[in-house]
Amino acid sequence: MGSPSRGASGVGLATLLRAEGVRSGGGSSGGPGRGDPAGVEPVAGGSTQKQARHINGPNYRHGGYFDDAADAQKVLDEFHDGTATVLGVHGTGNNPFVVVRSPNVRGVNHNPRSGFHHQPTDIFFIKGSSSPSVVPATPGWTS
Amino acid sequence: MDIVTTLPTPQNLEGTPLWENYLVAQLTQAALGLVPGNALALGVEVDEFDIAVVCQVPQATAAVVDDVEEIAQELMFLLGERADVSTRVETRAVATMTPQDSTVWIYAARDPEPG
Repeated sequence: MGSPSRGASGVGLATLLRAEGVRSGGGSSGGPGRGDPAGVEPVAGGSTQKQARHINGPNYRHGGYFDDAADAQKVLDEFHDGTATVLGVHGTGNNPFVVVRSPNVRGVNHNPRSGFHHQPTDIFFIKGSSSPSVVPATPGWTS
Repeated sequence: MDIVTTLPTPQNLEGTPLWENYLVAQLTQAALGLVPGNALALGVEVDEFDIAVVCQVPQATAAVVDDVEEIAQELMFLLGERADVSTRVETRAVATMTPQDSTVWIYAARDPEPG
């Protein structure tokens, strides 16, 4: 894992995930990455189940959430324009994800089985490449 | 023969497998809305931070593999960066469980109705 870096001009999310060589089976391998301001992928949006399960609304299912679906897109925008800091890349099987700090966005970490309830956070997971979704993470995630 | 018969209480969980139980609780959260429609069984194997999400299905399609990997990913979000979460999809005709399983099962489909 490399040191955190400003996130995002040059290549897209999918390229970052491939370039980081995320290993199968979980764990961390990542480091800094760069995105593509001309190729911002749309967030999966509040209308799709993957993003909606982490939006405070009728399709919420568990874990971290946004009060406003637009904030998920803002994280992606900040990833691509370089405002966000890439903390690392992790992966499970074919589903790698990027961890970013996006200081201008407020998400909520909610992990009651770990004892954390409705914590404000500026750390986010970005999952998926062709239709990414964003999940607020524990503010203690470091890599 | 001494047999311990005192079950845990909210004030005393001594002797219970807390880490394993925690993983079970987190898997139930991670799997909400993601269990494959044809799943026969879903569970978790736990060896400290080495964790495997296990799913039995009659047919291991790409969609099933994606669903199980997504559950594993959601589980990792809850567990933190030290967790090493893998997946295993097993092809079975029916849900297959034994008392010797190292997998802790959280879901089993109903057996088909006879006839």
